[in-house]
Amino acid sequence: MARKKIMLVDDAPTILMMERMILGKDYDLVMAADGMEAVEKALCEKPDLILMDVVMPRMDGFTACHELRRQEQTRDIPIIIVTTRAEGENMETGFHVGCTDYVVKPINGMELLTKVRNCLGQ
Amino acid sequence: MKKGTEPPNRYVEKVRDSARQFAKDLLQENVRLGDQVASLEGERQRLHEEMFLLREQINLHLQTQSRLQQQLAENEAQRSSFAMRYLDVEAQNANLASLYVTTYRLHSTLERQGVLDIIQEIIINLIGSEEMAIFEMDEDGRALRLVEFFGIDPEAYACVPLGAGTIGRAALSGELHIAEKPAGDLVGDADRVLACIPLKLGGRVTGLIAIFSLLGQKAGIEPLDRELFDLLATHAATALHCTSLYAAEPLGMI
Repeated sequence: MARKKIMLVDDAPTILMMERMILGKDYDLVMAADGMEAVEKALCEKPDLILMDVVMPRMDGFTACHELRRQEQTRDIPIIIVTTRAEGENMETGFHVGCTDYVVKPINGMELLTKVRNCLGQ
Repeated sequence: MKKGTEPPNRYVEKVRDSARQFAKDLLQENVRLGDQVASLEGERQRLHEEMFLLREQINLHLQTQSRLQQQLAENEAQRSSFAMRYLDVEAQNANLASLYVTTYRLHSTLERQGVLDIIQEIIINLIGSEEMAIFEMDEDGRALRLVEFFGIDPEAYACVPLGAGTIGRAALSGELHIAEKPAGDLVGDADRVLACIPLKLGGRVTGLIAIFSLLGQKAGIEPLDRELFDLLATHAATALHCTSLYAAEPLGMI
């Protein structure tokens, strides 16, 4: 069975490295450093899941999420928001723009793996 | 003699014959019943032996069942233990990943601002704080100079004399300081520092990282955080020192 592909979107290389260490063994990974790069890459890479930071330069995560939901090729890709902001209104905004689930930082490896597997139906 | 009546001798013979026949029948019946009893006795003995064997088999099955149930309980306990150990190992792996990433990132650049940015990234994303400050010891070794900050008023911490306040005292002692009160209870305190991590190179304090609060979703300082503090105390100091060396002599590097 082909490995699932996950796109990691974060402007912090430290977080990208953490996510790579947690997920790299079981999934193929694609990286993006901001929302705009994420939208561009998602259109050509067609990942099975996107982990999206919120606060990023050029285009933030919520805007990128909204943009991905507008595009037919990417509207059905599950998106997990990964952020330091756990306040209710932020989570509400995330779900309003179309994110599938939410993970707060600092990342709990087991929680992230569980949510990734749930979103991928594994 | 009256007509129709039997002579007495004939009657007695008849009765005697009847009695003899009756006795004979009784004897035959007796023999038959005796045979039947013997047969039933044999059957009873056979059934008794069969029942004994069946009881033994039942006991054997009950013992096997008991043994299998015990084995099942042991397997279940072992499975549960393995599941707990698996979760522990996964948690340890995740912790080790944090420590590895921290070390790797700190030493991934020789640019001073790069190292300061990485320290900030580690504190925000791996420890979970958005109020922090990084200090370096000034040339005299008497005060800490603020070199990087996030989420705080820099003027309040621009220069901290050694021994002054929680930050100054931690720099003087060189010991890690973690506030006894939770971060939420420190709000309003004049000296509301949650953690002070002296940066040490060869036993000498060269700087300090101060953390003033944690992200709302974080209950408090966790064991992994303390390990990250220990790691930062040496590796952040070393990384910053290397940037100074590199800045002084960049041409020596490939």
